[in-house]
Amino acid sequence: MESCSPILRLDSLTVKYGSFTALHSFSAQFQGGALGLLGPNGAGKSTLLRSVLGLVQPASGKGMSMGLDIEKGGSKLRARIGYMPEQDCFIDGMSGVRALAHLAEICGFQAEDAMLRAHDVLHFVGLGEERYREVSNYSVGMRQRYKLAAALVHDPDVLFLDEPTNGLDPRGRARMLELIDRVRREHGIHLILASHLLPDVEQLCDEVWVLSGGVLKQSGTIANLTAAARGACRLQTVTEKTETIGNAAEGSGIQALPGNYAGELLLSRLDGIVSPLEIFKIASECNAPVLSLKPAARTLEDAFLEALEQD
Amino acid sequence: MSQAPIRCLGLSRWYGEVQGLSGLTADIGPGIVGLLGPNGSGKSTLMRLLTGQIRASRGKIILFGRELKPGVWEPFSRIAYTPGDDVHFEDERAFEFLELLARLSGENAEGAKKRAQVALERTGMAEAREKRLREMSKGMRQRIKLAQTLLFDHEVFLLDEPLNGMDPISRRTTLDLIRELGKEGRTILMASHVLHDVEAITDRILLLHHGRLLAEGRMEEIRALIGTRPREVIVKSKIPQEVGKILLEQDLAVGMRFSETRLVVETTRLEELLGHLSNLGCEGKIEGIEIEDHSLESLFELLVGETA
Amino acid sequence: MAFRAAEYERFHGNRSSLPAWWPIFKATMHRGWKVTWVRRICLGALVSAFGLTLMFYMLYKVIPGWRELMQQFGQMVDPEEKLPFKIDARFYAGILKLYIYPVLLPLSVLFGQDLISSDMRTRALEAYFARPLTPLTYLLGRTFAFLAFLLGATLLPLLWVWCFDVLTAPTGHFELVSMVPKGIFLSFGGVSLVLALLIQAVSSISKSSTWTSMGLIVLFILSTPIAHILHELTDMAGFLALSIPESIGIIIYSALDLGEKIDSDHASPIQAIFLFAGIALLSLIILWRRILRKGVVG
Repeated sequence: MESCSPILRLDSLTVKYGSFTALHSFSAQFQGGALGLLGPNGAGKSTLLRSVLGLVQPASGKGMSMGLDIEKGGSKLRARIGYMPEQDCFIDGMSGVRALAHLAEICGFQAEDAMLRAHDVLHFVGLGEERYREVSNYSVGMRQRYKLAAALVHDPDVLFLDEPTNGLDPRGRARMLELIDRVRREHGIHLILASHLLPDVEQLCDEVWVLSGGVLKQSGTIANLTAAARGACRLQTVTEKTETIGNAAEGSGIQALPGNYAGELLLSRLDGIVSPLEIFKIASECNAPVLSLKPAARTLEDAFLEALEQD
Repeated sequence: MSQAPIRCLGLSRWYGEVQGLSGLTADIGPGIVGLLGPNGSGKSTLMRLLTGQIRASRGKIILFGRELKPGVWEPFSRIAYTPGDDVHFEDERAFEFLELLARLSGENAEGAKKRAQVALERTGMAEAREKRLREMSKGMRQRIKLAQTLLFDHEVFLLDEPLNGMDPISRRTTLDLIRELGKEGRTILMASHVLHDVEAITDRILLLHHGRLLAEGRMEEIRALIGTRPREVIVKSKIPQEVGKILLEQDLAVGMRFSETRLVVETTRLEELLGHLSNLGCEGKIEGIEIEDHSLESLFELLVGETA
Repeated sequence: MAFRAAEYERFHGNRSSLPAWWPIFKATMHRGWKVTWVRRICLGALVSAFGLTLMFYMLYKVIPGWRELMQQFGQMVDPEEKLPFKIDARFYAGILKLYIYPVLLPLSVLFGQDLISSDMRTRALEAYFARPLTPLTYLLGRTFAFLAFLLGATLLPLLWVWCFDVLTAPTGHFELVSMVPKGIFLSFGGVSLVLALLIQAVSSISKSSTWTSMGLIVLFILSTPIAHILHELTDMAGFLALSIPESIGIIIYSALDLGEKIDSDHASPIQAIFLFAGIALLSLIILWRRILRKGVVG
């Protein structure tokens, strides 16, 4: 099943809804692995996934996925993609297993294989106990897992996930991410993930495309995008002392910005480096404990916001 | 009299035989507090109790020093609330909606317009003032819900999943806004499933599980309370051996691992160790400190996992 | 981590070559059968057909010449042949109507009222069309199952009655009723197809089972007075075809080669067929647009 052709290659793909252009002459290539799609609301993330599935027709341009044209590949292509949409979508009046077996049959499984796989996949996502219950009675967390199971039941080569952790509580979210990560690492299923939650993308993906207004703003590996800024530090202390330290740092010519966590400061100099020694000294002068001090890697959030600001 | 604007004493609530909240005793605020808990742990019940939508089965709530009883309305006018559900006004334009709410709260026409405009500007929605609510994305509707709380100068904000559905940009601006409100000395109770968001604005949490209070206070304090197992601290240093030796002499480590540029210290006395490391830092002997498993996520997993 | 899930496995078995509408067909049948009243009506239809043949058989055992006797009795009390004392095409036209009103119509409403609307409500269409299933195969699967269900509950029992009638009849009777299988197939098939499309179309607009049934009942009941009022106003018999019960009657009569019995007070078969074809086409267009809009661009 493995092929060398890229999982996704788009050549100036344009998608329109009426007069609104959702994707604007979009060109990019994803060889394989795990790709995160980032962007504000209405950036075109869902549209991109849906146009590969043939759910929306591109107005112009071309797209290839796994060696198949996205417009002509049709059924053959869709049988190899597992799609987990953002909104709830289930089939009324069916129990979990029956619905999954039904969906697998549509993808060309024989009835017995389909039923077997439906059971297996539900066990895998942790819905084993609830598999005979009707999907319409599932809770939010169960529905998310059901949707993942539905995306996996026909054993796709690529998973398209649209906001997979929406509405999950912290444990549900950790489990969902773990399941997705295992499918990817242990079974070599490629991922394309669209999410608002940057930590999710950071945890699952190696590559990101930043979209905005239907245009690709930035693409690259997460490792490259979050490469450490030279000579800057992240300091974490208790919340009450943050301001004191910030002021003291500004006093010695160091720029102090609030970090990602309460009590965290991002310390840098416009020209030159900030040495740990300096910071330890400032902290002890302010009588503040140093909970953590490390070189400041750029977070994915910084990279993302920076990419959006380029115009 | 206590400082905390919200005090709960043995607060319980049942729905028929289903337990919503059980024996919650806690002081909340001032400052930002993250309200955490798995689904069905009683977060929304607490929010609804505090806003007077439902009444407690047992126990009492003291808001601004006054006990909530039927007929006591005054404290509610000092509380702002965003429900977790979607707003249900559809045809109103953003500005009209806020203006209407301001009028409903007893403001005159002139003032209502002014307040609506200020609230829109503060949430970064000024450009969308003439947009109808039903035409908005989920993130924008969330921001309108937040704007609604900013109409009046409330002292307490109860925010139920305010960031749900927001894209990273509005998420950041909203978090900044909440942080600012916290700095102004208001009390903010924010329920959220996304622990990164809570971590970004506060280190104080209130964790509910199965309707009971599981933990309350600063993350570090909670960790210290339950921390019987040694914590690991990664110390970056050019001379790890020497640093290790000093720490051992002070009896601050129960275990150590070395590599060329760093040393991992296992300790049961985290605070003292950190103090000592600070001193070493001032002497230029170490270059960085990082505590393992320091995130709220690991704390949450530790607390909820233990009782599950 | 405390949580360990069961293993995921990749699938290496063969994939079947069944057409994609087949699973939809199966699931639709299953869903219809889960409705209690659908089961009751189907059972009622089968039992009554069986009861009718049982009656024939007992009459035949007790009075071998019962057919002739009844015919003679009929000529005595009913010389204008208004009542079906003779088992011929008109007798079958009577049972056909009997099967259409209490069986076919309620069954189709019960079966179809929520078929497409629930798929739209729960966004199942998105799940379907993201798989190797096109809107056309989806519609085919749904409509085939709908038809199969309706025909199973009406065509089968009637064919059974006809077979029994022919097998126990004296010589010469076969010629009288030879066109019946074709007739019931055409009338049931035609009416079922139109109903299946119409009901799905209405439910795709109303998106609720209650409104669908209400709408259909109102449409059905109102069609007759409207047709008659238009007929009175313009004096054109063609308007009578707008009445759905009237058109169904005309279709039945012409399918059973009883065309000459339709007098000038009724619409012509062509007009009835035109009405049904029109309804079917309109429904199809509505359905297609709704499905494409809900499923593909949403």
